[in-house]
Amino acid sequence: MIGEFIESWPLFWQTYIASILMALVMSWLGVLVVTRNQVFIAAAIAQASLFGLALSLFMGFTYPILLVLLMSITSSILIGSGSHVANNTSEERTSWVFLLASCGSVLLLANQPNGLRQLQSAMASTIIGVTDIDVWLFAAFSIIALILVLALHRPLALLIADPVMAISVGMRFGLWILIISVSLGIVTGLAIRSSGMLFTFGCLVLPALAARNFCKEIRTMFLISPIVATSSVILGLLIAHSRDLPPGQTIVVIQAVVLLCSWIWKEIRTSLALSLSNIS
Amino acid sequence: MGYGRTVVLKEVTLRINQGEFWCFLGPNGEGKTTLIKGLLGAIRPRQGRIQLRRDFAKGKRVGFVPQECELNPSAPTTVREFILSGLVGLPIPSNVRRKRLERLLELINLKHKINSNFWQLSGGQRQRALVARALIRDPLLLIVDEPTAGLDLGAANNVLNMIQSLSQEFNITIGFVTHDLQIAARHASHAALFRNGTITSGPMETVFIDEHLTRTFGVPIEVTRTDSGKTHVTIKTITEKAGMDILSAQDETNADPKNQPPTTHDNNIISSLTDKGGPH
Repeated sequence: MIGEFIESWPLFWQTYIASILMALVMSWLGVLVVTRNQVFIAAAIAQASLFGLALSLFMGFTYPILLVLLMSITSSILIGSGSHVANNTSEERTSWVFLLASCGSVLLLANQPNGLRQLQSAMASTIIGVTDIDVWLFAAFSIIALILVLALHRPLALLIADPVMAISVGMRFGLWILIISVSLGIVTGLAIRSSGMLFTFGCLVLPALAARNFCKEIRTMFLISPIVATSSVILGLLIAHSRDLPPGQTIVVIQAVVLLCSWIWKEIRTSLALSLSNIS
Repeated sequence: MGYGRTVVLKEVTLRINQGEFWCFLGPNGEGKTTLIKGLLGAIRPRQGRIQLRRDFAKGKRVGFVPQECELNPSAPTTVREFILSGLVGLPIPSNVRRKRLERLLELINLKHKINSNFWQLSGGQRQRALVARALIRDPLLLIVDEPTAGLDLGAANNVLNMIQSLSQEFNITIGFVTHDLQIAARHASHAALFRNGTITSGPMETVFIDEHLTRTFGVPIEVTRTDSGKTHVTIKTITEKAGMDILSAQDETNADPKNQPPTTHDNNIISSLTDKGGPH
């Protein structure tokens, strides 16, 4: 299996490398999303990106990526940074964006069979089609994300865990949330364009959810989440190649299995801790 | 000072000097928490100004103990990591960091829980951890928002004694929000009474008197002081049959009297923390 995979390297190296790099970046952002209890923000942003794609197809726009990015960044800021105009919650805004973007994109292309097919193809995962640009782009994102995580893991953890305390120690909460939202919008939008909604959503939430079950601190989640993400991508690519399966779906299924294992692990660990405390 | 279009505090003048133990007293919704949010920089006054010492304004020598732990339960954390998160924004070498942590864990008697999940601590232990997180910044100003709410008598007493001893031993200025007149009578050197958006403030013996307390809380309150400086607080209510009926027990204090007149609501919001000579 591994021999065959290595043989396919010259043909698909962009796909393999880009998938790993995307998973890496998404897994770090996923920690911020999951620990802020905003799992569905990813689905809403992904759907908003598809709305941008549908809009560009509808308008015959030459550069669909611009509208995809515009929609994903706008939706991310709208949901993540919050709007106090009507005292609505993050969940309400997430639902609103998700439903409007889902229906809007289909309605826009309802009379364009070709456009609708492109939209459906983007909703499924097609990581085979990534380009050299995707590789370089996500390599740059990975390096930036790594530096930020290494330098700022503790302030980030405080920001997520206790915003009031973060403000009291002088952190500019609004600015930080805006930066996180914009980053999430850019990365999600670009990842969806390159790899589809399923792979992007999966890599954003599943490794971080698994890491939360394995870890006792946010700090270590920043280490475990990328390990889960990249190893599941490598394993998924190997299996998909040898069994001739779609790689995006295979990777997401593996990540879902890892999450299941992490739930079991957490349950066992909690039971053991309770038993030990009862004995002592 | 307020939220959105709602004005919570208006016409407030307050001057706090180093080493004083201030109790912020008043019914719910009168602006106690709003004022401390202002002191922490979480909200800004619309008129007037809050003048802080330079290192306070940057949040460097300010510790904050919230009413209850507002930690996001989705964010896993250990006791160690929780307390260390109080150092965010301070360039502290790792050996100093470690020493401070060890000293505080001994002080709050949680050394044996250092690697425990924060959420597995009892209410009293969590509250002590919150105090430790504030103290690890080595604060000169400690703002405490009803830290004993929800604690049993023993745990509440431990937390209060710890805060008062810190104030006395290390000359830390305390801003303590509470509804509890007994706590104020026992521990505070100064009081600020919140009512209808204004503050009556000053040393205990000039502010903590029948007239002001009765007006602030809307029930007849009697304060008596013994020759030894102890204070008795009696809360009375009028019942249909018995007329004036004493409901609440008494308490005693050795509050240090200082003969200064109470400050009562001037024009603009000017809450200043000042030393004898200038900003504190």
